[in-house]
Amino acid sequence: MEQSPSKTDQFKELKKLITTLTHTGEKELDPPVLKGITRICKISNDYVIHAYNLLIGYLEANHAEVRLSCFQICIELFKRSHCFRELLVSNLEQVMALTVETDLSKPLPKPRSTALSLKKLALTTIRDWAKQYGSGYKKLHLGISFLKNCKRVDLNAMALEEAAEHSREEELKRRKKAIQNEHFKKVVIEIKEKQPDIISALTEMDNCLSLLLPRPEDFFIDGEAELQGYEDTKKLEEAHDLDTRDQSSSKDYCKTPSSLSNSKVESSESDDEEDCLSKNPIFDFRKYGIINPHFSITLKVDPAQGSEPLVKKTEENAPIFESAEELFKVVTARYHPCILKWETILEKCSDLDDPTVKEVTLRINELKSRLETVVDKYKRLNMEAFHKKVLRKTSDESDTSDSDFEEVQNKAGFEAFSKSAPVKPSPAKKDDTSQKKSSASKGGNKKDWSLISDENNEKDPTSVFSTLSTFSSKTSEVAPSTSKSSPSTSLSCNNREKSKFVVEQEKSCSDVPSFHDQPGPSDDRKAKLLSLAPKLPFDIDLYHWEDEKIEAPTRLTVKPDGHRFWQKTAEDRDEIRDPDGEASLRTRVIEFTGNFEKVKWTCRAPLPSGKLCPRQDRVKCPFHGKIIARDEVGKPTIPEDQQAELERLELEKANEVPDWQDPKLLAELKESTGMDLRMPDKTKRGWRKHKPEEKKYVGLTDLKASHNTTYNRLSKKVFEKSSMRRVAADLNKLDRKRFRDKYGDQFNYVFDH
Amino acid sequence: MIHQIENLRIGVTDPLLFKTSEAYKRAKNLALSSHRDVENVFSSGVRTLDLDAEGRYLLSGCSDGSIYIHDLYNFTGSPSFTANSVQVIDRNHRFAHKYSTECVQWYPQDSGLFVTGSMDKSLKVWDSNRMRPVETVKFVGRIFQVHMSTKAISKCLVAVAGTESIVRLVDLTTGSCTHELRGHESAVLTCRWSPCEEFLLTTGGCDGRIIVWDARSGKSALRILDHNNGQVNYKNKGKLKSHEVAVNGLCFTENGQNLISLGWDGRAKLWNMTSGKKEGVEYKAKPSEKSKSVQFDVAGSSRKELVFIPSDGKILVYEVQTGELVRTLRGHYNEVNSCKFNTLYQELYSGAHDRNILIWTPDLLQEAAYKDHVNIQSVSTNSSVRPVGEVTQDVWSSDEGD
Repeated sequence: MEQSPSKTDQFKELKKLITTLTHTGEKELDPPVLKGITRICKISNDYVIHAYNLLIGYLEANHAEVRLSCFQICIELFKRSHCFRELLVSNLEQVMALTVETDLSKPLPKPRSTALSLKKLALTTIRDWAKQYGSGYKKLHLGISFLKNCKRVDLNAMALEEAAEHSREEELKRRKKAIQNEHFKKVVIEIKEKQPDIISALTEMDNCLSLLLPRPEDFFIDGEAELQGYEDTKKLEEAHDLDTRDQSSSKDYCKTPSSLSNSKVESSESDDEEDCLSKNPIFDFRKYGIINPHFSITLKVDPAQGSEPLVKKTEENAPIFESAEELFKVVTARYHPCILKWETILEKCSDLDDPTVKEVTLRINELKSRLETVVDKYKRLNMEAFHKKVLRKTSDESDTSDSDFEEVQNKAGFEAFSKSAPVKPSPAKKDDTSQKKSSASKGGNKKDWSLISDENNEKDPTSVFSTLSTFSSKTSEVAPSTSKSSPSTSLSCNNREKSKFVVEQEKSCSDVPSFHDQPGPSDDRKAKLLSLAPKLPFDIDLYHWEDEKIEAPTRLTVKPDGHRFWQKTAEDRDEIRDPDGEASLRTRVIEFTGNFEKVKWTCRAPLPSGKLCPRQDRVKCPFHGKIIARDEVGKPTIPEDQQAELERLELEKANEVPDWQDPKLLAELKESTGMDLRMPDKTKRGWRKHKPEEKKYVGLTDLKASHNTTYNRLSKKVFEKSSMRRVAADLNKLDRKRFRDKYGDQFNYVFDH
Repeated sequence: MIHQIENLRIGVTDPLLFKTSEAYKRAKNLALSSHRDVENVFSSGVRTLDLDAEGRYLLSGCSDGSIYIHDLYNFTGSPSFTANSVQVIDRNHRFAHKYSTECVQWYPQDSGLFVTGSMDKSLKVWDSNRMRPVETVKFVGRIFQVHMSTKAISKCLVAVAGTESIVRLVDLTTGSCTHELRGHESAVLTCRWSPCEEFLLTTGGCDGRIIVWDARSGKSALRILDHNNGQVNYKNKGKLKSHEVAVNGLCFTENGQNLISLGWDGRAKLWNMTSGKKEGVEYKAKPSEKSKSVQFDVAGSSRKELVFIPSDGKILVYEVQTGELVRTLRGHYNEVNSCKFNTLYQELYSGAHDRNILIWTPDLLQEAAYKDHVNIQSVSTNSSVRPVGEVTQDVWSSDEGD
């Protein structure tokens, strides 16, 4: 009737709904969309027929997910409309071919898993339909017999399977319920045990708090409260909410023991107000409902943010304080988590059919709310202990949340520079000193450099024994020429390397005057120096240290073609000299890898967020270029740098995306209008080519994607015809060559290739 | 209807006219019978069907060589009835055909004898009382269709069409091949005797030709039916074609005036047998590529004749003279191989590849009445079966209102 003018619209909408619903790729149907379809279909059979035609069309789609959703819609409509049933049943053979795979030449489309689930669903539904509607639609019965007789579908087995699955599910549910029941019982017992404790603790805490800070109601016992009203401290005002202040007609300011002890009266705003009123008594705006522009009262309401505790700890209230504190700890640490745990368990048990569940949850909720109010109160009291804790916490937080910038400031190396003259230290200089230090310290500590364990190895030229032995042998050989080789000089000469470090070390330790001045008591000093001095392990170069004439090492050549028993005699063996010659015995390679030097400065270029760039790069920041000295706001201090910085900023600005090309904005626009306003990136290759078509239906599994696997891509390359041919040709060539080499000269095989 | 019966009684209406118009009406309103079934004993797809002269025994052959006879008469007293099989020659039977039974036919006069042709290259003549073959004739090629003349008086000739291009005629009295009709260029898929002319035979083959034969004439071929209505002469002999593709079904109208032929391309053509020309009527069905012979039937003795053409899983009902599609019968799940119309009761039997024979009846009112009856019974007995009326109702839930 009223739909008749909009019939085409309805058709269109139906089509749209069915299209969206079938192309979601979900396993379940979206109820609101389905409802839309059924709503339209309910109007008249025309829509049902239209829907049927659409659905049959989509059932033929080459995508199992579309077919599945489509069949699900069919099920829903089948349940409802006789017309739809007639249509579907009359065309059941096609539906079955499309969903149950009755036609082997037309297998179900991919993805396979969805196709299988579709098949299963279709079989069970058709069976159920036959059971339910078979008496009215004969072809359903025929379909079942067709499935049974011709397609050998074992519907009984299917039913058995289903029943088994059902029972398994039931069992699972039952077991879950039993477990929940057990949990619930445990919780109830626990609650019974702990509830009195919790309640007592809470009341105790409550009492403590009310002792520390009595509630306003407590002061209404007599009318004197008003008299004492003005003796109040500002802090106490803050303890109460703003509401109480708004109702300040009663001026119910109260007193605590602490405030009494302080007995310090501060002027309140009301005093100020009175002053002002006394100044201009004519303009009592308030009376006329006009806001007085001369007044501005700022009130600090949040007590937790206050710097000072509301209640001060004194000798008198110390025990109360302590007990409250202790209780607070217990309550927050033990009872609160406990209650939370119970709550979660009870939440899970909420579907149990035990009537006590509700009651218990109610009780828990009550307890929780009470606990929370008490804890809140305590927190708002802003007591010292808590305050401290809070402070500590906030400072921690600030530490973690703040940028690395401040950390850097604390660092020893760079601090002085950045504060006095923000010039970047030259890294080379620093490296020098630090390296020296480290190497010096390394000499003493590192295991690699440890002195050879046996000091008195004669063969070690660094040891005293060896020098002595060589010396004695030399003296025995050439007695007069001793002047040259005095022990001290030889030692110093031999340990050239060592001495170098020693000298340096000497310089560094200024308290020791000189080596030569105090030769006598130098034993402990020597030990000290030795402990500091770097030591090299004994090696081939040290072994040949003193030999003036060394023969270059030789090698025995091994001829590969000879038989292993047919060795040449010793004379015949030709020894060849080592290519490096003598040097190979004189040199020692010490690998130096250096040690990591931590960067102690940050880039500190100003960021759009207002912070400074926290990157720690040695020379160049990838975003802001070369690292230069900057002041506190990130401005370069040296004029040349300033110029460079300006240029950099300009360049950045030029590269920046214009406002109307903001990707966020464009994404929003695209979402709302469906138009992609992005400009093609002309710097990239192939921008002129139309971009790959965007997927129309995002929910569906991309069937083509499955082909694009690593294996496929590789095999496409590896098994390409040309490459195969190439490889085969190469292999053939090799084979032929081998064959020719082996048998090419033999008469028998001449003609074989 | 009652009005017409009254008219008939007072003599206003011609009884024959009444009969034909009523038959037409019934044949037009065929639908799948919801209460009558043929017992499903088939071990494979039903290839061929035939009904005996009384319309009682339904003979069927399956593609695995088995043969069945069902008794269609309902003596149970209840409209709900399943026709049981009275005789079964199953696949493993001693006398069963080795391969697919391609064609079965009752002896036109009584149900004491029937012939079957099979892919195992043999034609068997059966004694239906003893259910054993009394004669077996072997052929060189596989047999696609056999047909006995229904009008035969003097001689009982069986035409045999097979993979051989020669159509052979077997004389049942001698039990041997008496004629060889040569004219087709390749396998002959179908053959039909005219229902009015005793010796007129038509055959259709893979070469796309329909040849009309006179069994008595030595020259044999009377005519090749050409779709361009060309005359046969020596020049164009090879060019004449009835169908672009193979002809796999032939059927005469009841009076023998017209022939309907079906090709692989799903196009059925109507031929005038007196002139030998094609009529301007064509029936469209789904192409049945490479299928063997298809049996289809014409609803006879009605005011306007109807033809039932199998088209895949459906049966299309066309009006013969106008070519108008009257109805589509849907019920089979695979391609329909054979239709047989029962002229006495205006019922259609169809056998298909889905191992089923369906009965199509025009008795809608009767069945509806029976449904009601069953409903009342089921309500009174409170049986668990849902009444039919409830099943076919629309069930829209109220929350889908708007």
